[in-house]
Amino acid sequence: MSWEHTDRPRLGLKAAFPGRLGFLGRMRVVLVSMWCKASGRYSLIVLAIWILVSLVSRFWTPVPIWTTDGYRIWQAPSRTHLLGTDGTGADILSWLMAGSATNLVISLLAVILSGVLGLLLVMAMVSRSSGVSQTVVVLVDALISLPTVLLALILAVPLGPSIAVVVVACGFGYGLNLARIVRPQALLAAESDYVQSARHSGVGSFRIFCTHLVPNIIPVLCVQLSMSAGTSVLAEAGLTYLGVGVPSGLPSWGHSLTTSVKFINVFPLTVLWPGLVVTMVVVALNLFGDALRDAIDPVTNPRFRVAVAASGRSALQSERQTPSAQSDDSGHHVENAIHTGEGGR
Amino acid sequence: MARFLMRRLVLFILALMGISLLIFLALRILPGDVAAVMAGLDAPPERVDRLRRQMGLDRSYPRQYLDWISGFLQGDLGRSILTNRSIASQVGIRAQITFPLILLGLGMALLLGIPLGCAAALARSPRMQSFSHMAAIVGGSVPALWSGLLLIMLFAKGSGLIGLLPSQGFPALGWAQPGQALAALILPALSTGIIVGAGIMRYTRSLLGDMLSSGYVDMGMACGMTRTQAALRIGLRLASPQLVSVIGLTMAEMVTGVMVSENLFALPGLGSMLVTDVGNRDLPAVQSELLLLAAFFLFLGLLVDVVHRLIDPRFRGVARQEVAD
Amino acid sequence: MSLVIDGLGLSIGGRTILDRVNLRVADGQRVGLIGSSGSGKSMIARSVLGTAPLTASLSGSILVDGLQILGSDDRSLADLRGSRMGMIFQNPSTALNPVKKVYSQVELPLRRHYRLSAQERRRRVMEILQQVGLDADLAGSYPHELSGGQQQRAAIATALVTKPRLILADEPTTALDAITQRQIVDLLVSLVDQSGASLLFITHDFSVLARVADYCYILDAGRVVESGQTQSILRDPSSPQGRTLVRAARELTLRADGGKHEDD
Repeated sequence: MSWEHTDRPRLGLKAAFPGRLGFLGRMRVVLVSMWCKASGRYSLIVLAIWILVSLVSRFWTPVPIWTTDGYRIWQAPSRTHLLGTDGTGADILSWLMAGSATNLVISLLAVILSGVLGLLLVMAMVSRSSGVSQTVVVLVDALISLPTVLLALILAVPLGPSIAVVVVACGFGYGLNLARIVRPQALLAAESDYVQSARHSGVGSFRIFCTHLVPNIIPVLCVQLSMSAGTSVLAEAGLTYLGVGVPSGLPSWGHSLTTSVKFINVFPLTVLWPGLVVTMVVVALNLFGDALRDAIDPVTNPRFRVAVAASGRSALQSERQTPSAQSDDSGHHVENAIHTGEGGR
Repeated sequence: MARFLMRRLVLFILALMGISLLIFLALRILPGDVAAVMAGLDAPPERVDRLRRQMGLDRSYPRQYLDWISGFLQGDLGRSILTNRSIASQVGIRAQITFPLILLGLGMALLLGIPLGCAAALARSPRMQSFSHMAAIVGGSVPALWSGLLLIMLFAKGSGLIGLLPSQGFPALGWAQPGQALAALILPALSTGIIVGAGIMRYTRSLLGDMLSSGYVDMGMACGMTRTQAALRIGLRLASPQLVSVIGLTMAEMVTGVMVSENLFALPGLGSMLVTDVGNRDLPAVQSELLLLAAFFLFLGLLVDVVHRLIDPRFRGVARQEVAD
Repeated sequence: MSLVIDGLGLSIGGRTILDRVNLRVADGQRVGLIGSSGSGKSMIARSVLGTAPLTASLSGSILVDGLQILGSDDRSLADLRGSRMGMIFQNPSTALNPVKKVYSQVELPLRRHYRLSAQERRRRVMEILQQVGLDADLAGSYPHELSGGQQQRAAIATALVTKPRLILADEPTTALDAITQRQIVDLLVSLVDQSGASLLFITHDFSVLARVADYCYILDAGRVVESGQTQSILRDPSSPQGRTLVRAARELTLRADGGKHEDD
């Protein structure tokens, strides 16, 4: 955090999700707001395709992935093999489709693990026992500089190459990172008046954490978790190439990239597709977090005001009437906080 | 500052001990018998026994751990089971490739990322701003393997479209042939440097953008600096503590990329050594190398924290008050 | 130095912040600009200095001593800033460079604009520090080691060290407590009087303004809604925004002329 940082704390759960709109109403506002920006639309489309293809590939791929044909290796794109075949005669498109399911699972698990770990660490960091909080803060500071790949290598010795290695290594690294980035915002909220008053009226620490602190850090969480999902896709590719990621035989994008490496000089086109898919998905995940953050923020997203007003109750209007330069700045500050730490591995 | 340094140092040692335990245990709690696996499927039992003794696996765990650590502290990293060569000397030789590679990559990333980030933050037209924003995101989203492959396809001597630079191996005489050695490192360094540079560009843009809307840069301009001067002399200086932190973390992040490019460009560096040893389950080699790398990066983290403190005036002020009290 | 603003418009990302603002400051005159927060007051000062945000698009005309500011390149504007125009910011703790000592901060405009010997610079810096009432030994401190009032004095010293002919003060007292506010305002007025410079004083508080300016403009939502002699507006404001501001000032003055009001 920079010393000029004077981000005012947000207003707690009710403000983060205006309660007068139903859950579906809120989802609609969020999705529509995202769709209306080019970056949000791109990320929604790519991610929807990713999920759809992952599901479809469980039941159907253009060519069954285990079909190999020794007479049809390194084929150029054709009607049966839309993206051609690789060195074993397997269909590149089918492998990419099947791989997307593996990558989806890895990203989801890594994000969940890092989210849980990160929130637990944040909970400890804002705990009122200074012993606990300081210990955790310095522990995170010390461990944050360990590269993900080092942890993966440590785990890979007993476990061998496996999905678990990727998930645990990523989840651990991103979890630490998340905690470090979220801490300033969480501290700000923890020292705010509404948390103090909740505390004085006898609300338990865990409840305060869930109802007051979590809503305040949701914008950062959105950006950070989404970015972690992207980084885990990149990590999978790297670790699989190094032989400690997804075991060979299991389709994944890293696997597709790796198989294309060996004959790169002869068949450069096969390299193009998996790299393109990975890059597009990672870009989408990067944009998704930013778009989601902007869309769910009731302070900076005017659509919420419109929607609330349309539902006949303008409770939020009175307090949000001055869209001065201030409100823009605060969004910017959150972004700064995120980028500062996104060193993220 | 002295108190902070002491605390950070104690923490460094504690973290290193923790990591060493983790490495040790992870390598001991193997499902199955390492010695048996290493000896091969149908090795005679006496061979397995000999191997086990050789690796020190017949002793108690605490004993093994203490032996390992005390040796490590004296600079004795043990011997490889497979080649029986001293690990320390191997590491020494291979570090001569890996560290120049990391430094070169980082240098390229900084040369690329900071000026471009500044230019992006100072861009006037909204179109230019969103273009540079997207360029930074896309650049940071490329897998290291892919950027390496694309660079090979473009610039590799012999096969690339514009054959300029060698893309496989390292000169046999190493740094005795400085020109060739450097040439061999350029493409691998570039393949990670571009990606990391895009990341640094993104941070620089965002940090400097925030500084531009802060009062400090306005004040500099009010004193007679142009916007660019104020942004670079005041904004960049004030953003530098965070930038240092980011660069420190970036170096840790680069390691995956460096290992990938060592393998891709067939450079016999630390990364490819580590990957080979993990694949072979060469226990003594793996545990010493992992600990060495962990120590290096924990130390890097320490260094970054200290530098961050030194150039952040807020902490300087605190230190001053501590002295005054 | 005179300042003539004609039909100044400013918008950022399609949002209008200033709308056809007309404003005049004659040579040696002290003029107030008052408006509630978010009315665009600061943007006027930043436009005059040529330091409006990069994304802002401006229209109209700003003449400083007959020189057109809008459309001038940054380098020639930089030559004006800190030499002939001085600026005092609302919050000194986010304006004074935190890594520079007070001395080199105050010295900066001299260094940028004049070729002076080190002794001459030192003499001038010490002179202005003494004029704003800062002890000489505070020159070696960092801004965060000073109190809010001392910081603002240092900022005023920075703005005035080159004896500029036009001074823009953007809510220079808002971040201070009531007693310091009065001291800073009196200091500023006496220094401006001594030098005979023009002053554009921006504030949201009539009780401060009445001490500074005899003519003032009321700004609301980017538009000038009223202008006139400060005393007559105080007696009988014609616009609703003017009435609100005057009433607020009266209530504050009635309540023992004090209490912090940091409603910005």
